[in-house]
Parts: sequence; structure tokens; C-alpha cells
Amino acid sequence: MSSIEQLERRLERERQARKAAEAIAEEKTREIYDANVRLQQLNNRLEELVGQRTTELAAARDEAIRASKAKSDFLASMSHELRTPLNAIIGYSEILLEESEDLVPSELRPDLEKIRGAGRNLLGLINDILDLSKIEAGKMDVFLESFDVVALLDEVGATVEPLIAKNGNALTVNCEAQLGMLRSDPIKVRQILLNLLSNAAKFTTKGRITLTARRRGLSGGDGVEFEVTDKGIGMTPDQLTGLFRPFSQADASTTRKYGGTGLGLAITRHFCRMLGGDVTVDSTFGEGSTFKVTVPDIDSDTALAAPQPVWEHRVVGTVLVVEDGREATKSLAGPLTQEGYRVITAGGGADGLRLAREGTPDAIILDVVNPEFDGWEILRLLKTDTDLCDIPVILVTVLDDRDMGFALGAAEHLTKPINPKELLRLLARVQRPEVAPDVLVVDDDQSTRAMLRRMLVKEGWRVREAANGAEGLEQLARAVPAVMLLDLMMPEVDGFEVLRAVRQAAAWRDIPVVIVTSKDLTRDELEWLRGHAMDVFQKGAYSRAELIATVRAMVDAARVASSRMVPPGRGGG
Amino acid sequence: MKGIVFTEFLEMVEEKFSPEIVDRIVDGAKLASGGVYTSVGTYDHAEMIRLVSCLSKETGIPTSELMKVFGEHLFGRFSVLYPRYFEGTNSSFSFLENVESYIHVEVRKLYPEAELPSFSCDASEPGHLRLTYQSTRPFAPLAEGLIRGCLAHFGENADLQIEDLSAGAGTAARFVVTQRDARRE
Amino acid sequence: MAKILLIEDNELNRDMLSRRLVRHGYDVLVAYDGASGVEMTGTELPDLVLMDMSLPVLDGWEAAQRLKANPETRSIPVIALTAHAMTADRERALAAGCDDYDTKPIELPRLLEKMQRLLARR
Repeated sequence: MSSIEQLERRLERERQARKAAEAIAEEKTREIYDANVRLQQLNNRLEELVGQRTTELAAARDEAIRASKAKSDFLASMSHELRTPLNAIIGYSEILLEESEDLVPSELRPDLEKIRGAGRNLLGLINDILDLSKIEAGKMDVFLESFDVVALLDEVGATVEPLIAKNGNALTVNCEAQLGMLRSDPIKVRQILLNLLSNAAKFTTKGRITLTARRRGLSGGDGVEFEVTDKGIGMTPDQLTGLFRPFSQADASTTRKYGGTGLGLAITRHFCRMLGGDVTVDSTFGEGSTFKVTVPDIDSDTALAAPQPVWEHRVVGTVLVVEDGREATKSLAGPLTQEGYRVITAGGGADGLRLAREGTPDAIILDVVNPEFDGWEILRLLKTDTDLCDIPVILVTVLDDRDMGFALGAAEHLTKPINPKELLRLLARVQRPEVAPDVLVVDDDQSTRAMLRRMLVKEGWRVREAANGAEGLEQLARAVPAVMLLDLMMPEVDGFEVLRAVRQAAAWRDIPVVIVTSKDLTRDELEWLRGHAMDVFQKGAYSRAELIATVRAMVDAARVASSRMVPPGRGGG
Repeated sequence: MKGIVFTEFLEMVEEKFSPEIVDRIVDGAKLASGGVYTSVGTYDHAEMIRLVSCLSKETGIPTSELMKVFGEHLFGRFSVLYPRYFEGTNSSFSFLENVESYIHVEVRKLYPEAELPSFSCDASEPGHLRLTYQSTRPFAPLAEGLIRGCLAHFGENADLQIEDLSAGAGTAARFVVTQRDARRE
Repeated sequence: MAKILLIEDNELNRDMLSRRLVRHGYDVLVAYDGASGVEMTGTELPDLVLMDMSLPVLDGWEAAQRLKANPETRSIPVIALTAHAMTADRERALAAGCDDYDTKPIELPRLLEKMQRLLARR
């Protein structure tokens, strides 16, 4: 009996315990539910906050970009506005000096000279600011020309002579006899040397300043090395750091004593790098400084440096090659520089991103073949950076990766070994629209060519000419134009043959061709041309505006096509 | 005190003694809960003291001895019920070092109201582990039983020295575990 | 005495340059905008034209093209005057048919040398 009671008591305890456990479970369930609801609310609020913050940041970024652009524009226009009255100050002081013999009392001459000197000084500073703002805004262009280095040195020497003499210094120019011609931007080289020499003159008293020039094999090919050495005050290692950064003269006391904005060296370095070279400094405090500048021959092939219309001397674009293998980079640089591209190379990811920012390239060639070198990550970073994402990237990969490349935003894709022609074709395709599109004019009549050229150049396009069909095909092989204007009646290879060849080659198939002819066309010929060319203009029967409008439509269409991130149809050629 | 301690205690009594004994001590202890325990509940620790003292009267075994035995039993149950606290530990030292810094931390996350003893630990001397138990409740013998259970669980040969720090109250004690191998050196 | 046509819209620049050229013995005519500059070149047939590029009515590039397209004025040398750092302007000036260019602010000896070289060619 007692054991039954015992069991009953035990059963009762167990039942109660179960109920207690159920109550606890229910309470916990409710707590968990409430906690979830609170979490959900928090989460929603968080998303809202993140969204709000993102909008704020985007607005702040846009504002910063606008402000930066406004700053550049303001500096440019301000410099312009400042220069106009300054020109008058300098000009009239010069006139007074010239006329001083008969009109101005001679004791006023020193004062007039001071006005003129101060005006020129101020003008130099304004020009520096304008240059720097242009560089920062990416509006500084490089104009290539072959020039005589010795003649340039003579001219530079003559220009700085008065400045050198001012502190009782003397200038020695050492140069090899066979410096010859250099293909670069002579105006920028001149300014680089003037900056360095005036700098040397400023910090040296009663000393010797030496300008040396010698031919050198440089990393980017052949070139000239300039060296400016002074026996001036020199710099401490501390002063050397940041020397080439704008607005950072060695220190504030230097500015007080020697004047200047410290912009000259920053501009000098920018110019050197724009020309594919660089500037370095070596200095001992109290003993003097040596600045060394390298300027490579941008196109060492002298055959190509034959006289050409000046507007073709323009650098057609800047290409940044990001890779780790030096050898392949070199093989890329050759054909690119020959076509007028400025090539900068980066040895790794961090370098690549920095140069993409500083060098404002028109295109980036990115090697992702080497597994140790994370090209994919660089591509991702390039494409997620608002400043850089518009720069088209040509990917060098193994075949299987092309889809991934396109998915990550690459514009084009190449496989190793690289075919230089294919590379140039892709580059022409991805070029940013800022670079003037080029139009190839193929006509055997010189005056027609000249007329078309004038017309096209006026529209801001670059023009290449070919005097017959064979030359036309050669020009096509060098680079694919945005549009081709083609005459039909030409000796040897006529326009029909050219058109046939163009439509058969995969690389050329998409080139819009406009026929400009004085031939009386048969119905069959006209039919055939309509099927193979974009438009036919009969000489004398069209207006200039019509032709321009047609070419413009094609150029625009080509731009749209090249900015689309779609792999091009690539055939057998 | 967590309900698991009570439910495990009564199960042990039933197993080692008899269901009658369970019934008698629950009845004799005059418990506010009426002896109705669930492992996820929380109950007054004084009920445990009364249960143990009733059991001591029933069996004639000293309460401290009963608590040590229960501690050893409880540790074995812990290893079955909460294997996750044993992951990554391969010795009594590594487990005991974790009690304060890991297990008690986790228990507090689940049961913020739990009042846990402090169980500080000093392993600065190789081969020796000093554990200091401090509580507002007199369960030092239970702690000793748990430590013995731990040594048994890992199958280790070790000496355990106990130093009472609470003048017989059982609220504070120092346990020194010494590995047999270390002692020989 | 060589006859020079100076086409320049800025009054101060026009005044300065014309005074200095007169001092150096030139016969100086002035025009204030591109259109009248082209017209005066046709009627006055100067020995040389000095032309600012940013001109009202008709800009310097368009004016140069017109001068070079007209058989009557084609052989008259044109020197473009462009602002500092506006390298693109210079290239465009040459493309438009200008024979030479010089940058403002004018450095008189340099400009005189260029003028003399072109005048000697005629």
C-alpha cells in the first residue's frame, strides 16, 4: 500500500515537474520571439541607417568631386584673368624702358626695371599654378616632335643666363657632340630644364652651375639624361623628402628667404613622368645638389619621325601596363610607343592602382596570368573605384578566364602570347572618347585629300591620309580608324578592291566606310557598294554638311560600340 | 541553484539507494517546491542542503561524504549531457582551467540569474593546478567531488589536496591537483 | 617700310604691340575682330598679319583658314598669338594655316625675329 502511495506521490511530482518545465519552455519561447522581433526592428533600422549614410556619403563624394573640379576650373580661369592685366603691367613697363632714352628721366629706369621684374616673377608663379591645375585636371597634353637637343640646350642656356648671373654664378653646359635628335615634347623638356636651372641659380651664390646632357640607354628605350648640378646650400635628408610635392618647399623659412611657391619641382616631376622619364635628386647639406632627369625617345624609329602634319604629333593615348614580368612588358611597350601611345608600367598591384590614379591612363592592360600576382583583385578594385572605373581594362589571361574578366568589368581580353596588332586594335576600340577619333582618307588626288582633311580637322578629328589603295591597306594595318573615306578610281589597288579586302578581314569588317567618288557608277556598281559601304557620296553632288553629318554619326556609333563592355566578335584574322 | 543539480541528485539517490529513500527524504525535508524539480528550473539551494542532510540521517553517511559522491556522479552526467564543453579539452587541467573562464561564462549567457561560485585557477607551477573555490553557499565538498569526477573522466592519476579556507563552513577551499608524474621528478 | 596688320581685340595689347612695332619702324594697321581682319587683309594686302586667336565675330582659326583659302591673301604670312600653356591652340593655329606662332606675353625681340624671317622670305 505504502509503495503505491509512494509511486503516486512520485507520479504527481513528475507531472508537476513536467508542467513546470512546459511553463518554462513557453516563457522561453516567448522571450525568444520577443528578442527576434526586437532584432528584426533593429536590423530594419540599421538598414535604413546604412542606406541613409550611403546616400550622405555619395552626396559628399559628388560634392567633393564638384568642388575639386570647380577648384581646377577656378584656378585656370583665375590665372587667365590675372594674366591679362599683368601682361599690360609688364608690357607698358617695357615700353617705358624702350622709350626711356628720350622720354623717361634716367633715374626712373631702376624703378621701371623693378616693376617689370616683379611682374615677370608674378607671371611665372601664375603660370606655375595654371600648369599644376591643368596637370591635376588631366588636361595637360603632350605634343611629340623630333628636336635637336643641342639647339634646345643653347636656347635654354641663353634664356637662364641673366638669372644665373644675378647671384654672381656661372653656367657651364657640357654635352656630347652626337646628342642628335630627340623625339619628345620640346616645350616641356625646355620648361623642366629652366625650372631646375633657375632653382639652382636661386640657391647658389658666386658658384658654378653645370648642365650636362648625355645619350643613355634608359629602361623605356634610348633617350637623353640631363643633369643640373650646383654648389649651393644643399638639402638635409629631411628636406629632401616631399621635395617634389606641390606647396612643399624645404621649409617655411626657405620661402621667406628665397621666395617661390615650391611648385616648380612638382611640375618638373609631373612633366618628366608625362614624357615617360623621371627626375631624381642627390644632395648634401651645405655642399650642393644634383638633379638628374631622364627623357626617353618616345619613338626611336626615325622613319616614322618624318615630317607629318603637326596635329598627328599628339600622343594618341596613355596606356598603363600592370604586370610582374618585365620581359613581356617590354615587348608590349615597343609597338605601343611606335603607335604614339605613352606607356607606363607598374610592377605590382599597389603600384598599378597608384599609377592608374596619377597617370590618368586611357586604358589599362592587366596581366592576370601569374597566379602569385592577384590581378583579379586589382581588376575588382579598379572597377569599384569611382575615379578609376571608367578606364577600360584589357585583360591578359588564359582562355578559360575570359568570362570572369568580363563579369568583373574588363572591356577586352587577350591571351598570351600577345599579338601586337590585336592589342593595338583592341586599344583603339576601348580608347576613351576624349581621344579624338581618327578618320582615314584614301584618295589619289592630293587636293581632294587636303580638302577633306581641312574639313575633318575642323571637326576635331584626327586624319590619316593614304595616296592609293595599297597605302590605304597599310594604314589600316597600323591602326583601325573610326571611319574610312574611300575613293574608287585609284591606280593599281582601286577602291573596290580595298573595300573587298576590308569586308573580308575580321579585324576590319566593322569599319564604317564612306565612298567619295567622281566615278559615274553603273547600277550594278552602286548596288554592290550599297551592300558593302555605309554611304556613297558623288563628288560635286553632295554638301560638306551632309558628309560631315554622316561621318559624325559613324564616329559616334563607333564610340558607343567601343564603350560597351561586350566582347567583340573575333574571327579567324 | 539549477534544477539539473536537484534532478540528478534525486536520480542518483534512487539508483544508489532506493525509490523509497527518495520519497522519504523529499517528504522529510519539508521542501517549498514539494520536491518537484525540472532540470531547466531554478530552486533555492537551501533545499539541496536539507535533502542532503535528510539523506545523511537515512543512511548514516556524513553529508560532506554524500556531497563528494554526488559531485563525482554529477561530473559524469555533465560529460554526457553537455559534450560541447568538453570539446578541445584532453586533460583535467585543461578542463578545470576552463571552468571559470569559459563554462561559467557560457552558463551565465543562458541563465543570467544563475549564482555561480568563483573558481579561480593558477597553473603557474608545472604539473600543479591550484583551484580556489569561493561561494556564498557551503558546497566545497560538492566542488571536491566534481574535481575527483573530472580526474576520473580523463583517467588521470593525480593527487588532490584540500585546504579548507572557511573554518569548516564549506564556503571556501583551495584544491591542489598534482600530477603523479610531476611529483616523481 | 613693311606693312603689318595687327588683329587683336584687347585694347591694351593692341596699343602696346602697335606702339612698339611703330617704334621699330613698321607701318601698323589694326583690326578688332576676325571678320574685319580678314576684310582688311583683302583690301590692304599687308606684308604680314599678326593675329590673336580668341577673337570676336570670327575666331583666329577660322580667319586663318579664310585667309589661306583666298588666292589673293594666301601668300601673306600669318603669325598666331596664343596664350601661354595653351599648346593645343598653337597646334590648331598651324593646322589652320598660320605660318608661325608666338606666345603672349610678347617677348618683343623673339617676335621681331620671327617677323623678319617671314618677311625676308617674301
